[in-house]
Parts: sequence; C-alpha cells; structure tokens
Amino acid sequence: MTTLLGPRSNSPMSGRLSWFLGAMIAAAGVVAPLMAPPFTIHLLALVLCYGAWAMSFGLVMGQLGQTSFGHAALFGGGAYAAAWVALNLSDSLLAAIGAAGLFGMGMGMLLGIVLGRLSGVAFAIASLAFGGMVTQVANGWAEVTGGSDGLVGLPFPRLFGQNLDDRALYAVAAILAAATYVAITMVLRHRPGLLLHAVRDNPVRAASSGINVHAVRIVTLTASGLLAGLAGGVSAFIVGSVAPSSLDWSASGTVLVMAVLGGVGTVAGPLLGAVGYTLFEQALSQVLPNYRLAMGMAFIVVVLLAPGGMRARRDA
Amino acid sequence: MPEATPEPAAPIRQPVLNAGGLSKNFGGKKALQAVSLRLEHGSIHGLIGPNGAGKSTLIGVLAGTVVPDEGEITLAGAPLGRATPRRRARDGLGRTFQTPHVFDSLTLRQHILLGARDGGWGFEAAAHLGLDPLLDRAVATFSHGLRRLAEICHVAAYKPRVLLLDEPAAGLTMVEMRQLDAALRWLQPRLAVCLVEHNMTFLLGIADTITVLDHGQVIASGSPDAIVAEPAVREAYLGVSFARH
Amino acid sequence: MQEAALAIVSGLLYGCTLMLVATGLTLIFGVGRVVNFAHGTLYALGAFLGASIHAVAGLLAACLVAPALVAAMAVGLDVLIIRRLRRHGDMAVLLFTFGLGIVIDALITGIWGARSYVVPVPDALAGGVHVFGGQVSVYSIVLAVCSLAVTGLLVAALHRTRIGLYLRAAAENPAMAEIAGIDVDRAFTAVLAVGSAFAAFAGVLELPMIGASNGMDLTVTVLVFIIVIVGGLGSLAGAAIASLLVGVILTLGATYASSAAYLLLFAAVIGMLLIRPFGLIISRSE
Repeated sequence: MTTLLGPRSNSPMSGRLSWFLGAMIAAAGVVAPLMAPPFTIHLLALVLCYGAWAMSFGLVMGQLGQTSFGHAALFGGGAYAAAWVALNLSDSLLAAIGAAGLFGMGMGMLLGIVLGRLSGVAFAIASLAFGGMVTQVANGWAEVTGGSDGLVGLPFPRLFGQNLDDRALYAVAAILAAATYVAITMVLRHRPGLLLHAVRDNPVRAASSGINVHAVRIVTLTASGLLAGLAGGVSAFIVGSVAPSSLDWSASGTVLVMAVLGGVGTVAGPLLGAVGYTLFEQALSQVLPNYRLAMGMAFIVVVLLAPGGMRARRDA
Repeated sequence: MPEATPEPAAPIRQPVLNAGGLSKNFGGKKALQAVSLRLEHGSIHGLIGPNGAGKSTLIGVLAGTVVPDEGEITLAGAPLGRATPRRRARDGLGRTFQTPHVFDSLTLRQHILLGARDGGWGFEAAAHLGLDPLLDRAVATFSHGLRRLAEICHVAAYKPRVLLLDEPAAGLTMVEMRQLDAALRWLQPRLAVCLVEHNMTFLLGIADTITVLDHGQVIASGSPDAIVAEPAVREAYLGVSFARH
Repeated sequence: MQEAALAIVSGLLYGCTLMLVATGLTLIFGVGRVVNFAHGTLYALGAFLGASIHAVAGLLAACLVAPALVAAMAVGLDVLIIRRLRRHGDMAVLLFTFGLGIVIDALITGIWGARSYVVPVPDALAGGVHVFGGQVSVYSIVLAVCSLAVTGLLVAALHRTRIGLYLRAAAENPAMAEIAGIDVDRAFTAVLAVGSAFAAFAGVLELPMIGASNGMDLTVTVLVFIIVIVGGLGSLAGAAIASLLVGVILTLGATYASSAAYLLLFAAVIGMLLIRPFGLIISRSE
C-alpha cells in the first residue's frame, strides 16, 4: 500500500512499478467497454472522470503541498460550464468541454491569486470558504445555474458530426484520464516539477533562492483547475445533469478522501483512489450499508500511518 | 580534484555590498546600532561576536528577512531599499540559514540543478566538499552537517555575487570542515563571502577580514591578526582564548 | 422598517445559538491549537444523543449527559491519538479531525438511521413574545441567554481563575509553560473536552427548535468556520461578536437577498485570512 507521500521519488523500483500498474489499468481500460454491460460502462466512465479530477487534486496536495477543501468548485464549475453551453449554445462536445476547461482554469487561477500566499492550514480553511462561495452562487443564481435543482436533461454531445453515446463518452473519459496522467508525469519530470517540490518542501528557502513561490502556486492551481474543469465537463455529459452537490464541501471532501486513500504523493495514486473509492461505494453499499464508516476509518488509518507527509513544511 | 572552471579575471577588492548605518530595535532591545559593513569581491569576511551580539540579525537585514529601522544597503552599486529576499536573491545575493534549509525530497543533484541548468558553481562546490558520491541521494537522508554543505552547494549553483553563510561550520566533523575550507577557497575569487561563525579556529584559518559585533555595535574591524590583538575584542569575549591558533 | 427590526432581533437570537458552537471551536482553535473539522459533527452528535436521552429522561438530563458523553469521547481521542499527532504539525491534526467528522457522521447514520428527531418545547418555556409586529419564541430567548451566560462564564474562567491562566499560558508558549510546571498535555485535553462539550450542548439546546437531522453538521461547520475566522482566529470576544454579526446578516439575507449574504460572509473570511495571515497558527506549528 502506498504511503501518503508515495514511494521515494528516486527509487528505480517505483518507476517500474508504476509503469506496470499503468499498463494494467490501460489494458483494463481498453477491454472493459468491449465486454461490460451499459451500466458498468456508465459507471467506469464516471470513475475515470473522478480519477482525472483526483489526479488534478493530487497535483495540488501532493506535489505542491497545499490541501484544498474547495477543489469541487473547479470540477463542478467545469461541469456547470459544459452543461450551460450544451443547453444554451451548442451541442458540440468540443465547445462544451472547452468552456469547462476554461472555466476551471479561471477558477484555479483565482484560487491561486487570492489564496496563494497562505500557509497550509489557512489555505485549507480559505479554500473551504472559496468552495462555499461557489456553492452559494450555484444555489442562488437560478437563471443561469438552475438553483438548487441544477441543470438537467443534457443532450448527448456531438463530435465530428456524430452523437456520442455512453461507450463513446467512456472513450473520451479514458483519453482524458490518460492525458491527465501523462501531462502531470511530464511536468514532474522536468524543471517545473523541481520548482513544485522546492516550493512544497521549503517555501522560505525557495523564496531566498529567488523562486517566486506565489507564482508557482498560481500556475499549479491554474493547471489543476484546467484538468479538473475538463473532467467535470465530461462528467456532466455522462451523468446528464449537474447540481450544487457536484461542487459543495462534501464533494470536495470526497476527492480529498479518494486522493489520500490512493496515495496522494504519486501521480497515479489518486486515480487508483478514485477507482477504489467509487467501486467500493457501489459494491459495499449493497453489502455494508454503512460503507462511509469504513471509508472514514480507512482515511484516518492512512493519516495516522503517514502523518509526517501531512506536515505543512517550513512556511513562508 | 581537478579545477573544472578557470578563475575569472575579475578585479579583486571591489566593494560588492556596502551597508551603512543599519539599526534595528526589537521592542526595546537594540539588536543593531549604526552598523556598517563592506564586503569586497574576492574576500572572505568573518562576522563574530558573543551570543546576542546581533550577528544573525545583521544577516537577516542583509538578506531581506529582517527590515531595519534605519540604514542603507547597496548591492553591486544599486540600493536594495526594501527589496524582498526573493528580489535580492535574483540580484545575486545568496544566503544560507543557521538551521539548514533544504528540500527534503530532492537529491543533491536536483538542489544544484535548481540553481542553474548547468549547475553553476554547484557541482564544483560539491566536488570540493567531497559530496560527489552523494549527488543522487535524497537530502532527507543526509546528516545535519551534510545538509549544511548541501545548502551551500545549492546556493553556489546560482553563482551569486555575495554569499552570506550563517554558521556554516556548526556541527561539522573535522573532515567536513577541511572540505568546507577548500570549497570556500575555491569560491573566494569568484564572489564576496561573509560568514557568521563561532568556530574561531576555522574562521581564523579562512577569513581575510573580520568584523566584531557586541551588543549590536561594531567594536572592531580589520585583519585577523589585528582583531586577535585588539583588547576590546578580548574583553567582549572574556574567557575565550583564541590568541593562539 | 419593522420587518428589518424583527429580522435583526431574530438574527441576534440566532447569533447567540451560533455563539455556543463558535465559542467551542474558538477555544479548541485558539487555546487547543487544533483545527477541528469535526466540530459540526460533534454538534450533530450532541443533538442526536440529546434526542435519545430526552426520550428517556427529559430535556434537562439531555443537557447534562449528552455534552458529558461527547466530552468524554473527545478526551479519549486526544489522549489516544491527537496528542501523538500534534508533533507532526497542524495539517496532520486537521486531516485527522476531517476523517473523524466523516466517521462520526457515519456512526450517527448507523445508530440513529436516516430519520429526523423532533423534541417539543418544554411547557414552561413555550409561547412567544410580540416584538416589532412579529413574534419571537420564548425558547429562543432562553437559548440566547443560556449561550451568553455559558460563554461569559468561560471567558471569566479563562481570565480570572488560575486554571484559566494555565490554559492561556499553555496556548501562548507550550515550551515555557511546560518548564513552569504546567502539564501542557492535560491542559490541551481539557480544552478539547470543554470545546466539544460546548458544541454538543448547543446541539441539545437547539432540539426544540430544529430537531436532529442528517446534514445538520455540514451547514453548521461552514457557518462556524466563517464566524471563527471573521472574529479573529482564537479571540473569544471576536467570535462572540462575529456570531451575532453573522446571525444578523444571514437573517437579513433570508428576508431580503439570501445569496448576497453568504457571499459577503465568505468574502469576509477570505479577506481576514489575507490581512491577518494566521499568525496564531503559523507561529506555533513546528
């Protein structure tokens, strides 16, 4: 089981292990839609969206070292943007997803600009407030967001002149999840990854070395927002509707739990966490009505096993 | 170890950092009183004084982490004003902290690459410090002394004009200290170094100018021999015998 | 005009009920150094426990027993877990309390099911008072008085008694306090116990007004964090004033323009955190 901060970043074994896992998942991902019944495809597609969302969250919590309790605002915001475009402007997938990504990016940037100078705990609470604001807007601005009922009846989107069905949406979700994984991995492998980790590990040293800590945080949150927004946009079509519950505090809590359970220090950890969480939720809820109790306890166990990974390091 | 980079043909004894009239009050306690300091290119300037003399405050003021009540600092001719530590670092001021500040999850090599894509002076500093075999190990695994040295390599990679070191020899073994001495000698012609140090033996071996602080004021400044002979200095260090070294 | 006045009065009363929860959180925050993301669930737990105890022994018994049980639980958790977790920094503790909140919430659903519980207002306190052309329930006034009294007692205890002095010393500078002979661990445990008891007490007191239902923890958590931050992290007086302010703003908002009220509050939270960047917490972690 990966610990909170994942295996040591420089161990050659961990590199091979994650390639193996990646290959397994990719294989499963390709085989599934050919064999599974519609409900499962629907679920798996959603899982992949959550996975992409969780990975975007992992970028912020694991790699940048800031724990956000408002990350659902980026995902849900993207979902709302896509839904609004689909219902009011165009049934093109690209238009809707594009809007979703842009919206998420904007949210992320705002989060970074306004909250980027805050330390771990302050950032956590402020992000909670930020998420709360977005939820309030979603609940209140009924003409645009549909209020507490949300937006329903999304049509299937079109791509290259074709209406996309569940299987096609699954493919889109899979591509998104894969692209998210690759993008984050590539970033971490090069100089930006160094900067991220430096800012995470010791913001005071980073600043004294000439690194613009605030700027690094803004860029990271913007990128994370883009990825989360895109995931949210795709999820809107899979579910067929959006509601404030996709962006409230308990949704933000859910992605946090997913990422932590899967191992927030690695790139793929949150994806595994999202997969595990959602599948367990489906499976366990038949067998164990109180699966949330099991999830909560598992979360606490992970926190207790690797509390050092939680540390807000030498704060700027 | 072979010299990888030839010594630059820079003029020696140019003032790189000039600080004048620095004063700082911490709620009644006068940490610094009209302190002046001049750091010259190619020189190693030691800063000594009993505990509480204001040495760390002075480093903080120079580095930008402490805002002085009065005084001015110019770096390479340009006044620093209220520039942030980040700004100063970009202008060529490198500093290490009293407690080593490093990036636990990064390797020594990554610490150096952060400073410059080609590593600046970091790799050579590491070579002189005997850290070559540890380049690819995560700094989190280093001992306290090695973390100090790693921080120095990191800052050296930026090729700073001025290097401020806060007690670099603290907690080092005899071997590590000899290597630090070698690394500083290698760096010396390339920049201006100022080090706060308690370890007199080490300092007297490497510094060519020493400024003595006591109760926030400069009580003496000059060559190591002159300082050692200065009665005011001996008085400040009552009981500490460093006349023989 | 009358409508606004009535809203303000209702808002003040509402603020008093929030005050009890916010005081508990501020105590835990400012003196106990714990960012308690489970505070809302402790409030909910108090309410559900209170409902069950009430069914057997009446409201007064519930007021005494439920907080005691929750406090006992808090003590257990602190001694067994939080004490050890503290040295890993504030984030570790925060995430633990977040997980704890999920667990307690799940336990509540497991034990009491998904139904809501209603408790009648005690006869002696029933009825209403006519104010500004509207009505305000006697019970809500009693509740407000209780909150103010208990909060006042706490502030007095912290500033006038020796125990209070020890607690404040332990919060200010744990290392020095330890040297001075204060059992800092025990001080923090006491603070967590009292803070949790406050939250549970508030839950019980509000039974006749809003009952016990699922999801009550979520709304309270968000509100109470807003209050604690706007009031100035760790300041009891600030939390008290902020509670009243928030109560009034929300009630006015419910009467006139609800979303604006919440947006204003959230903006205030973010503003406060930017201007007063958590000096209280940063100076103490590591």
